[in-house]
Amino acid sequence: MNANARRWIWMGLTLALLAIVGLRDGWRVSPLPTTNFVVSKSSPELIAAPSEFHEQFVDPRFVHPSAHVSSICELPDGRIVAVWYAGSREGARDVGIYIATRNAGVTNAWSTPVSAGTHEAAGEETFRYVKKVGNAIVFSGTNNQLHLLYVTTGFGGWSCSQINLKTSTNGGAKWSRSHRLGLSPFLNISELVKNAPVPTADGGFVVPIYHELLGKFSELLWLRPSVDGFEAIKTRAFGGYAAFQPALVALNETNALMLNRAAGSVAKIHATRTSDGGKSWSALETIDLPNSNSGLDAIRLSDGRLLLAFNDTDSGRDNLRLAISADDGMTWKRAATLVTEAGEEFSYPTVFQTSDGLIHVTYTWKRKGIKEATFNLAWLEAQMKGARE
Amino acid sequence: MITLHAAVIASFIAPMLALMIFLAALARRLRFNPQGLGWFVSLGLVALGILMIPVAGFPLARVLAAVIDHWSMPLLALLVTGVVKSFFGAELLRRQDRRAMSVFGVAIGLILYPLALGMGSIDPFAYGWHFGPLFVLVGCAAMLLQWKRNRFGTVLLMAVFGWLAGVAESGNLWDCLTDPLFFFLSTGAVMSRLVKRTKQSLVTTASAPAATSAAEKS
Repeated sequence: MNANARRWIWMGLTLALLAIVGLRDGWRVSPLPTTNFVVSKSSPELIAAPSEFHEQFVDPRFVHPSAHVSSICELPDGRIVAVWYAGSREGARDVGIYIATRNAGVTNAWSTPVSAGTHEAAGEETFRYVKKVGNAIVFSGTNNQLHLLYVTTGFGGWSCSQINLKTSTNGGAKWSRSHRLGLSPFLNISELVKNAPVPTADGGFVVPIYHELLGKFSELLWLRPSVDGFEAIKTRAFGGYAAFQPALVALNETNALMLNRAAGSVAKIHATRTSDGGKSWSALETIDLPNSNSGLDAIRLSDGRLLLAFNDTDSGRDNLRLAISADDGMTWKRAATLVTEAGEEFSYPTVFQTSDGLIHVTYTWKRKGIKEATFNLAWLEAQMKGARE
Repeated sequence: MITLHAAVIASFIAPMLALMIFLAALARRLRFNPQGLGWFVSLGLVALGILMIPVAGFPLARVLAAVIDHWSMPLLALLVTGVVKSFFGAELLRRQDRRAMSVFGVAIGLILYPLALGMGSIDPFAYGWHFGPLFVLVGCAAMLLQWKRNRFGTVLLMAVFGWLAGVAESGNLWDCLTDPLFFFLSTGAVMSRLVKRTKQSLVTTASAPAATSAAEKS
């Protein structure tokens, strides 16, 4: 065969391969998935209930010297599940991810925590060396599935992290093997997670994740249902160095608000919005609430208002407050103080509203344990009235 | 979602090829002539054996995989070229092919990595998840190179094929096109070529007046 014929054959093969991929996937100019956010309908009548508030430790035994970064969600049977990591100190090799459950309601106690992951287990499941585990979030999917996203590192600190995914079909008693998600072209490092995802109309999720190696910025991990679980793809909300560790709140099918932890010199909560299902995001701006480079979380309540849990200070993490927005996050009002004690740390709140209307906030308590505050909209309303009076 | 088996196999292949090149060079240094299938198989098994040595409970290759997440198709092509040349004397990728490859490695590395690490709000990595403009660009580049009879065009074709076969754990085409090690090697190759060319032009400039004055004297 002469060189000219070979040349045409190679070019033909290239065209054929592109045609195969194109026919299989379809042409996409935008890398973003075409799907809508799922937002539950508002039910304002829940405010009429009597005021309820209760606090408890998720693990009152304080077995580990250090505990940090909690996440909660509701199981299909109504139980509440919490995960967090604990060990001798943050980043130590003995740190493990723990899971506990409790029945719905205000005062029901948490079960004795069990391990949901260690660096040894993560290494075995992903068949590669894993040095340590860190931030974990838990969320419910379809068909009784409970998903766990957690951070591991093979070397270096948290800025060298990867995100792993595993699933349980029995409420966290047993988990599938972990899959490490490939999300970054540079050694697949610096992908972290802290806050809960928003469900999407295609049966998947959009998870707010972040990067903190050279830049500090927020990204979106799209988990789209596929034959063997989820297809994981990543897009960016914004770049740069100003803010990261996002909390994502869907306002309707196409609009969402992203609130971010401050990373730069401006000690304010940073916000950005989308009106096209996450395809594009507005320029980053600050809202009128402080942020001292500390974690925050926000949700859309059942009555349509937004609830934000944050450290209400521009230095330190010695208080934890709630703020409410009745206009999709344009303006915020301080609603209640969950805890305050000078010189202590109360940080990394996670907010969740269960189907019974109760609101659960878990947070890191003095780095020693995870505390849960459970209350209803009536309590929140009473706190707001108290603040106004 | 992830074809772990393909990624696991890939994580052994690249370091194995690199080790084989190193071992062949070592054998030459020790005045052996590591040519032929026998040497290829023997040193291949030695390399595999080294990569299977358990470190922290994992084969060495999987410890390496904790750091180097993926090996791109161009880097694999370079390593295969190195192995074939070491053991069989044939040159799969010629100088002009490797030159095109290194220019490509530097160009896309300079675009991809700074942007992926947060410089600006555009993330080119996002264009590698699904069939779209990036695929067409890579396809056009491959066909142009094939038209020019540059074998790097075939390597680009293999990269798209590798993506389709799921050899990248991420499922992103960029991970089949480049990796940090390939970027650094390409940068090194381009830089050394530039240095060589600069030195040559300096020598030419310096020798030109001397030659002129010598000619005038004679």
